[in-house]
Amino acid sequence: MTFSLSVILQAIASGLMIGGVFALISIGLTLIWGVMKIINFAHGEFLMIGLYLTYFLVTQFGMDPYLTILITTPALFFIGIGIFQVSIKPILKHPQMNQIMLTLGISLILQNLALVLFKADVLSVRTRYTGINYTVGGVVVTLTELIAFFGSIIATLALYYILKTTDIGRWIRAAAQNPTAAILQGVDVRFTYLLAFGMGSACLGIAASLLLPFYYTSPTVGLFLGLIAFVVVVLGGMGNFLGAFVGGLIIGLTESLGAAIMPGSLSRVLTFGIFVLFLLFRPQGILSKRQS
Amino acid sequence: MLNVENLSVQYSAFKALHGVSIKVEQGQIVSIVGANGAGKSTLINTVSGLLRPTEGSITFEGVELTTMSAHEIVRHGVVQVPEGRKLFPDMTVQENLLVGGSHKRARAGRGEALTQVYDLFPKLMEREKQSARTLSGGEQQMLAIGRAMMSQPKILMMDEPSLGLAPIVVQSIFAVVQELRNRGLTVLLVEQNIRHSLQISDYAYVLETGAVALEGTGASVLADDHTKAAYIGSPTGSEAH
Repeated sequence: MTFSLSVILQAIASGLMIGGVFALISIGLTLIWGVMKIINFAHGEFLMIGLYLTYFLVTQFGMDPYLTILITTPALFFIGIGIFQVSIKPILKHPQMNQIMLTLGISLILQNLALVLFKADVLSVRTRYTGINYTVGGVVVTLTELIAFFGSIIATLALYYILKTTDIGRWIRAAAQNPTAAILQGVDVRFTYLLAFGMGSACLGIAASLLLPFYYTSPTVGLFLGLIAFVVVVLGGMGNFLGAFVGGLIIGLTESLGAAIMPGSLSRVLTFGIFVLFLLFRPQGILSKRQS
Repeated sequence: MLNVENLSVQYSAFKALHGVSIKVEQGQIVSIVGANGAGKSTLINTVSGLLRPTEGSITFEGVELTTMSAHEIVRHGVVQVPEGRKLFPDMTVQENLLVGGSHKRARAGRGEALTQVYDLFPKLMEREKQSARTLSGGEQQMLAIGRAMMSQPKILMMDEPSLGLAPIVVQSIFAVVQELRNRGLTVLLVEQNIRHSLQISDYAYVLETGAVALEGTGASVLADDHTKAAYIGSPTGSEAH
């Protein structure tokens, strides 16, 4: 097989675009892990909720897909804190296996609920942004991908800014680094967990609105995207914000290059091969130092 | 000001404190001294609300603390400098201080408090942008004290502030404790450095196996034969003045 340079360049461009969205999705997951050491296996299903919500806002109410961010973001924030309050908060101090079972259970419930409500159909939207492309040096980039990429970057920077410069951000980081010490500064750590869970989920609202115009939704869409987020988070170092961002771009590129150079469904081998290699040889992730 | 009455605390089968009563008056330095495992840290962690008593009451300015959550106790002005500093290692010096001053009552005076802390510990200002983990042991202790100062304490409870520090740094930490008292702060000091802490204390309690074995002014406890024999271990005539 031979690969033309233009195919590779095209794959790199598309990979980077989707990688930006992967980064945003993964940052939500890594934030939740970093603060309360919970791996939310329902993360992908939260994204699915966001995708369906976007779908209905666009198709039923004729909303501009990007305007739906104003609804999906707070919606996912509140869905996140609702689920946290009811199911996760009571088992925060329980063994990790119980927490894994719980979030896996939530993910299955949400998947099957979607199956009942929306059937197994794969749904996508056509908007006025669909079909607009830009060609630069033989590489075609769609407008929807470009918007998703830059939208994800902006959302990531905004979240980074909140974490870095606001009291809420400092509470979240303090609670992540030493919860007891945070309590001793008067920080309500339980409330901070709630906020962090809400913010991690809200990332998915933004991601869903940015993703749907060139992607699809189905009851199982979260299965793949959630798994990708998990791979990215491991790659970037569990709980590492910057690592999740870089990891998102890397996995986006890997997915896209894999699809371009490997036949059919073999492309996934590349992504999960990288995942396994990291687990074996660099479990602390690309950017993190090994925990001392 | 702080009134601990008949306090008992139990860890599963082990009774760490039984029937401890102590009093701290406004503007005093009060020491809790005793050997490792005597229950000193248990006592202040219970005042802080990190542990719950099985019996007894803790009131601060007449308000019961034992039913309050730990972060609310801090907001009421009962603030702890924990053993082993417990800084936020990956946050900068300034960020650590800002977290200390971020609860509602402290936030209004935060800028002023920051100036005061930097005034008290100029080293911290020099290292403002460094992450806390890069500080020396003494600087970390200063940051821990500064962070607690940021939350506008009415009473500062210090758990082993001299632990693991070089003798010269220990001197400066005790000097800081006295300086804080001179500025009107009330201090409850838990120490293994018994002689030094008794010297600066207005009042002191000796804890032994979870109960108060002896109490009195710092000087009288220091002069007590039992204290000398059990903790200071120096033959008569050789103690410092």
